Amino acid sequence: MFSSARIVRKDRLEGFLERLLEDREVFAPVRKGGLVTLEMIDSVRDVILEYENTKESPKAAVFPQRETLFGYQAEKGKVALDVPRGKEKEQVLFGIRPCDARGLLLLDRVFGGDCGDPYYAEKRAKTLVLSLGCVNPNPTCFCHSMGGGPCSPEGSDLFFLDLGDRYMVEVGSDKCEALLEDEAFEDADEKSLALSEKIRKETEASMTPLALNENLKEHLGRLFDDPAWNALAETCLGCGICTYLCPTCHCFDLCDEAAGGTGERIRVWDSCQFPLFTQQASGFNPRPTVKERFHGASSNVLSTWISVKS
Amino acid sequence: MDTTLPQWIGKSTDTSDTMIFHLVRAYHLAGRCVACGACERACPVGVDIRKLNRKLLKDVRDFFGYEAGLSLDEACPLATFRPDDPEAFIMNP
Repeated sequence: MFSSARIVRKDRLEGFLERLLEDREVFAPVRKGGLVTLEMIDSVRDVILEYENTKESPKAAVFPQRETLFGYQAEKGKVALDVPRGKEKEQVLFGIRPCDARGLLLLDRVFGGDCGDPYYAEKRAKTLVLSLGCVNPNPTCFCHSMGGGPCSPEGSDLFFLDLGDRYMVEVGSDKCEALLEDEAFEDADEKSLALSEKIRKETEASMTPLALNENLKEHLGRLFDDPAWNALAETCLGCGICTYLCPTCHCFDLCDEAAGGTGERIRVWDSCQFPLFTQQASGFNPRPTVKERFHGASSNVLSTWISVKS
Repeated sequence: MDTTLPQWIGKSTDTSDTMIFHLVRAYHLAGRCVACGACERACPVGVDIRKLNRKLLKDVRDFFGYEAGLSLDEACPLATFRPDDPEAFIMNP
């Protein structure tokens, strides 16, 4: 599995990032307003790689919170459409966590495939995922219970793992062939390979697995009317921010922002935690209160994504 | 507020839409918010969500002598009408 593994010494990483910045948009974890967020960087000095998780997932890079699908202008019985041009540059998501990288694979299942979404596909094709393994996962992390792992290269074009004075770099796809020609990369030696395997095993073993039922989907079905949902939902305010931060939530709404005959058709994030999400034209709402919405989201996320092996 | 024709609040990330949403939200909480702080604890990015609410809390107390959450029997001021409610702020058309 390490046939194409490389090494980057830490003192050479900055140079590599600088060369990435020359002709690409680079998103990386930075400290902003007391938080660690994923931002487009101007300078590699802003990048921090000693962090737990960014507040937001990187999904906005391929599925923006607000996206113009087309502009329109109606005049004298004719409508002129203006479809936005795609990205000019490649974008690099550097230093994102394995859970977020895997989240992108799950988004691919929604927006990709036979009925692919052209807006998503265009950005996704120009996106390089350079993720960074977790060697100190949060006590609240549970990636390994969901089919991922703190040091899993799944979903990454290049996967970096901190070995102390250097990074082990695994090559996950052929999208990064040009990057690997950079002078910062060296062939991996046996010692580094062994060390990275040791770190991977130790980190995974340090995480407490979630006590999930083996037949979770069936089990959740049986628990549909269980009173435990009432108590669980009591702590939920119904604000929907969980769906905005989640790397796999992908529901959207289409609407127009227009004045007169001129405007834009836009796509914006929607959330199953909002009452309007399930409101029907008849006035009936199958998920009328926070309890049903909380129940719906938690059981869907658990049972759907855990049964999907990406 | 949830209607689309007319659309009172846009759904995108436009600053004016976000501002209107929060003003409307704050006004609806006047006399209802008990200042438990749950919204601020839930906010992942540390927004001072109660900034507007604190002012409304103070106004509701000053104008109506009411503090939300102290009595289960008392109806909240913005959901009731009393003949002696202050109305100096109502302007003639």
